[in-house]
Amino acid sequence: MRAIVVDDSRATRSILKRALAREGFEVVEAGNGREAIDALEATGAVDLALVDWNMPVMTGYEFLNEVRARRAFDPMAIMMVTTESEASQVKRALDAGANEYVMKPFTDEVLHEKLMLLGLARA
Amino acid sequence: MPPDDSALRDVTDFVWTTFLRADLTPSIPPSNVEPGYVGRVRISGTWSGELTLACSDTLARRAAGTLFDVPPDAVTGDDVNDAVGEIANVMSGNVKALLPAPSRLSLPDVYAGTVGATRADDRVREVWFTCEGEPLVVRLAVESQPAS
Amino acid sequence: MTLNYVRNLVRQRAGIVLDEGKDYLIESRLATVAHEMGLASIEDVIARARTPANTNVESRVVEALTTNETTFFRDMYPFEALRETVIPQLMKARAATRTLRIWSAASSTGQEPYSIAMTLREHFPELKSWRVRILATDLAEGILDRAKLGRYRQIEVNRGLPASLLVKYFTRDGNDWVISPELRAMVDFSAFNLVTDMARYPACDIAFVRNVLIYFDLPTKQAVLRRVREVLAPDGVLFLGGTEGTTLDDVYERVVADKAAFYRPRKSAR
Repeated sequence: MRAIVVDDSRATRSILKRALAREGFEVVEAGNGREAIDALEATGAVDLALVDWNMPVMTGYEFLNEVRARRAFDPMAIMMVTTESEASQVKRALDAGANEYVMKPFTDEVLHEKLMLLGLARA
Repeated sequence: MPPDDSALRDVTDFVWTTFLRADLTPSIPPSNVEPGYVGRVRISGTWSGELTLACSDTLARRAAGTLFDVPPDAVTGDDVNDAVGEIANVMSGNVKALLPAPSRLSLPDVYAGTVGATRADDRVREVWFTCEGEPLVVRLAVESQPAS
Repeated sequence: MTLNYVRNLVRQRAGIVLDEGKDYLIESRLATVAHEMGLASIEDVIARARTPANTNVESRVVEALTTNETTFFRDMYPFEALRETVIPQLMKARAATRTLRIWSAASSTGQEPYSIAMTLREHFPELKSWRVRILATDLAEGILDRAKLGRYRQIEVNRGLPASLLVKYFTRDGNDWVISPELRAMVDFSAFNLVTDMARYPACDIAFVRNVLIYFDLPTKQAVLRRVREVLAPDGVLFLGGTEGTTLDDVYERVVADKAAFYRPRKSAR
């Protein structure tokens, strides 16, 4: 299975990459929404995208809308991983087509359980 | 209601325990001032001000080591800047939840500074910790807020 | 260091036996209490608890050792089985009485009964016109008070709870999320001791007795399970924790559905 991690923090990308590798994913990285779209066009669709919200050039929310509109990368599970924790933000993301939402800081168990909810990991 | 010292402590403890799996012990300002890293995030909106965290070089390296999964002596300057910035970012996100909405966070700013001198006054909340013996201080400074 | 003082305290107050095999549990739970109380070691916690004036420290120790860590939709599959198999079957069977009784024994901080409530609300709106009772019981009053508040920290709602259910059934307050009054009203909370209150087990159609039997020695565990069998409807279902079994093959029949295992009372005479 393949995944992309989209976050402007290298440290967070590093944590997420390792967690996903443990779950059996091959992982591609990007520092913002635009880079992520370029990466997907270059290397092909992935099963899962973990996406931060606030990033320069193209935010995670913009990436989400763009990707769902294009449908070229469907089906791709998209999970926001972000400090934005207001209910209205969570709703906006889900309405725009995000499948799941994780608030920072998160632990390995949180990620694992969310992947289980997405059907991308077993107990 | 803006966070008091105990709420600021809770957020710091929560972020460091979860993200860095490190134990924090509440403490007082150390007797010396030492060089360290400072991470700063501006918060603007209904409530405006900034959150800064300052920690010793050693603690910053250890934190970066944990996040990048390398030994502390193998982290680069860039790694430390990124790590301190992300910790400040995550802390600010959690503090923002306790402030009157709406408000936005700036991208984090990380620079070489010092840790040790107290800067608490009416407009600055300051909480001190040690983490495995190394000093850490978190400050929340208010510039403008709605009348209560 | 002997943990006998703690073992005796827990046995006295809760009827629970923590044998030497559970030392790891005692040490790790007391280490957490030490950290919360700002004490340096578990010896310090024990010393405080032994001080005659400190009955609240004693209670805290008992609570720490008898409370389960729990998450929303823990282990996921039992709630899928509830949704796909168990509730549909029981709704057919109870069509005449339109009554459903669910017991969450050892409900701890409430995530389990609230997860049951969310499952019913999300997937079986028809049940709104039924008499549905979700009874959530636990040993410790302090824990029940927390469960009644329905207030959870960010890390707790991040675990196991689909984001769509978070925004639907919770309201954010600072960094906490609080369960909606509608969902809160679906659950009755009550203090209950599985060992000493055996005469009062509630009659039910579905019993969740998850991750609590580990606290008991084998004879007590079997007594609890036999008693649950007596109050469970003949077509009812028992859910245990992910790695637990009944060891009572004469009393329960194990069924596997939707990747979960659950237990039905055997039709043979009790």
